[in-house]
Amino acid sequence: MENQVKKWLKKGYIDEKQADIILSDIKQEKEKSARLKMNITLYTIGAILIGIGAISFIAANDWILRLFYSRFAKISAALIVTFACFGLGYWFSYVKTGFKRLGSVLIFLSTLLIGGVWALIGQIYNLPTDSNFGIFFLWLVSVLPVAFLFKKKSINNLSIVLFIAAYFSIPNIYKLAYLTPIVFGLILYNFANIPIVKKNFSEFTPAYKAVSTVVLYFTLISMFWVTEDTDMPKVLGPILPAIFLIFTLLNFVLNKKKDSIIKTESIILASISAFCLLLNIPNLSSGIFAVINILGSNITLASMIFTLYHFGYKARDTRLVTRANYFTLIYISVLYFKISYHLLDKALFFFLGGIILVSLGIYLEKQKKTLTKQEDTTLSNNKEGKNDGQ
Amino acid sequence: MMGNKTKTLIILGFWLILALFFVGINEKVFLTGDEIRLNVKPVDPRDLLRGQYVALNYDISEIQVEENADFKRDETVYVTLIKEGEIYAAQSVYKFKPSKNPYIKGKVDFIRRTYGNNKSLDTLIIKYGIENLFTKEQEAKDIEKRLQKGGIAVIKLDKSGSAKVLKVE
Repeated sequence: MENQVKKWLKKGYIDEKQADIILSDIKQEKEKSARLKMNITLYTIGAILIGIGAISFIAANDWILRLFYSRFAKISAALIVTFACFGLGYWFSYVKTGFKRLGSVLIFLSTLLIGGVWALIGQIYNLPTDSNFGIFFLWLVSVLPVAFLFKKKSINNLSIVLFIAAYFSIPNIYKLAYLTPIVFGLILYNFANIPIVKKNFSEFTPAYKAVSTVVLYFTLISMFWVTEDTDMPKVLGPILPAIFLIFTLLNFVLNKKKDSIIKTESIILASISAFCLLLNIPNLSSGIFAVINILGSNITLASMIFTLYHFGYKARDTRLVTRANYFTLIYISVLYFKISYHLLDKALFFFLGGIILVSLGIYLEKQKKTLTKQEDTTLSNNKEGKNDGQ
Repeated sequence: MMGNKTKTLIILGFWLILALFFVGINEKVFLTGDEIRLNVKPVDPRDLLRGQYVALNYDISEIQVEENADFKRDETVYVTLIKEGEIYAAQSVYKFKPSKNPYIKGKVDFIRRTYGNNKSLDTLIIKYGIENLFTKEQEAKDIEKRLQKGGIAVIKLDKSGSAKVLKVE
């Protein structure tokens, strides 16, 4: 922002006095926001520590917990503490003024404590350890309404962590091996694109998309090691990919604002679903399987990276560009170690890789130039408009 | 537009209903079940969420059947129990609910095939949901030592075959 003000001063849009006032205002705001951030960080770390402490206390199953002789007394005590924490959170957030952040943290803490209650019930009734899926699922179900009703970003992030924990603790999930994470990624991304979620909970969708992009990307990368001997198509079956394909198409049709982002996302999600469907073709010969697998995963991976660069530059979001850089680096490294061993292959690989990257660079440079041109035109139009008005 | 007070009450009510449901489905066996005793051998692992527990391996966890009995992995089975002195032992295993009690409901974890005397036998390894006893750290180690050569688990078993472990002796 400071650089922007200096640029405006240089171009004559503002005078020196105005620049000084703006710069001092920016400095004050920065200091205020740093203090606030530190405060929030301390509160959040404190809440997380108390939450982990409560779960460890239950896991310790020691004499203090045994003071509550009956199982009902134990469960009631844990529920009362959780409810009181949520109640106090509500009171500090919405009734008493001046402690809004403390209130938010107490609400967050109560969403950790409710997980402790479910773990305690599991412990009291000696539920089998493979029922951890049930405990995480119950915890997720308890946390979701808090995130959505109160629109709390931190609680939504907790729900994503719980979704991961619940999903991957489903008994025998290992049977689905390679494609298991793809299903997880597709559920989360498609959920983020449901029109009602996109419209009313837009602050939640970037987290859903970020997590599912990483999961989808690394699963597609792992496909390089899948051969026709891997018992993968049988276990996933055609039904799930078909459902995701329909889900993606429905989301696209129902989204009223069909911008380039939703178009590209829908194409990528549909390609991943179609790719999973293709792997179900019965009696695929090893040659055809290899072609579908290698082509499908590479095309999808490359288009994911390209999309990240494209929108990263277009929206001037450095996070997207950084993510695309990491993805490209991983992609190239994996290709290097996976595909080529002989020197001639390596030479061809580097030539091809270099040409692709230089072409991508030229495209992005062109994009940037167009953007700068557009920006300058807008600024001068605004200036002219202002002068006309005077 | 829903007020924050209403939202808070909705969430607390929802959590209470979940807690009552979760406790209720587990409490049913304690309230309606009969107490039975089973032979058991313990081992001692840890669960991140719920702490130390003793993993229990029962005599009734392994049941031999004929090779052509056609049991499958993850299939729900019902094992009828017969009283031998103080202890209950497995009598037969069925795919459908037996008409006579007591029986215990389980799931085939895996099938081990053994060969001998010109015929092969399948051993069903069955999980009944009573394989864990959560306890505090030191106590788990004590139970493990005490029951090195085997012990007796006290189980609550209801009419539908659902079971909960109470303690080990």
